Amino acid sequence: MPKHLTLYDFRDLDLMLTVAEHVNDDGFISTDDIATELGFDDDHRAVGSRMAWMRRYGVFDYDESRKLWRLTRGGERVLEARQLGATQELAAVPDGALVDVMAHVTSRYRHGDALTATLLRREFLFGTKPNSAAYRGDGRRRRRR
Amino acid sequence: MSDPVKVELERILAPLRKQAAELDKEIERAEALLADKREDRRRIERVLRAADPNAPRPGPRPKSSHDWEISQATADKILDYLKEHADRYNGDGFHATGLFRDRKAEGLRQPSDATVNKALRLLHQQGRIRLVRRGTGGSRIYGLV
Repeated sequence: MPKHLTLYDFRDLDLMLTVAEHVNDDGFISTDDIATELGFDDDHRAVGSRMAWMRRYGVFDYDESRKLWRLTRGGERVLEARQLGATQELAAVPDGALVDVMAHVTSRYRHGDALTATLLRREFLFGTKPNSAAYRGDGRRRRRR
Repeated sequence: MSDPVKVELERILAPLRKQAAELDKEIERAEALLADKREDRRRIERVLRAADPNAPRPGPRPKSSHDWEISQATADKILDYLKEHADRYNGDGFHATGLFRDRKAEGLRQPSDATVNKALRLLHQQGRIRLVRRGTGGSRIYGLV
């Protein structure tokens, strides 16, 4: 049974999609329900802790009286943007041109809204940190081209 | 068989039985001696190994040199398969071993389960599938985006 709910296993988007999928009619979900959906049947503290951090980042809202979570408008906007299919266009960009793309991304990181900047930074961490699931799975020693 | 014949046959066989019993005892003694010699040999080998500065020492095993990267084409093929069978994989999610088994049942033995696992990790890293939850044994259960 997993004990930690770190960025290096579950990306922020994984959590956001899970919440979006399982909210009740009012758009809320409890920590217990999120934990159950993620396979954290015994220990819900890890889920609560991660959700609290993502609340600080502006991804989730927490209703203190009902003790329920929901996506913020910013979080919903990020999920809605996935429908635009921008990643397919990016996939066609040749490797050499990715430096320009990165320059554009970092510029948006500096000048864009705080939520987007935080998610960009964390996505970069997920993809590049040595103990990330993504990094491990994609080969520790990259070939130099 | 008449009694005189029986007596005569017994007279002939008796020394053979005695000889067989003696041989059994000799074999037993020889085997015990052989076991002793082997044990002596093992003891001497242990001493020689301990005294040899070039002998391999116990310790952590060296990292595997089989760290390989999966091709994007293979990952795309797996994603195409998932999309073709979306009705099957859209529900409770899927994991690498189950996906490999499903493909194998359909006669698709390649790629191997290890490759399927890497393909799913790469697809998750790219945001083309999502991590839905961790299974009881820590397995990664993915879902289509």
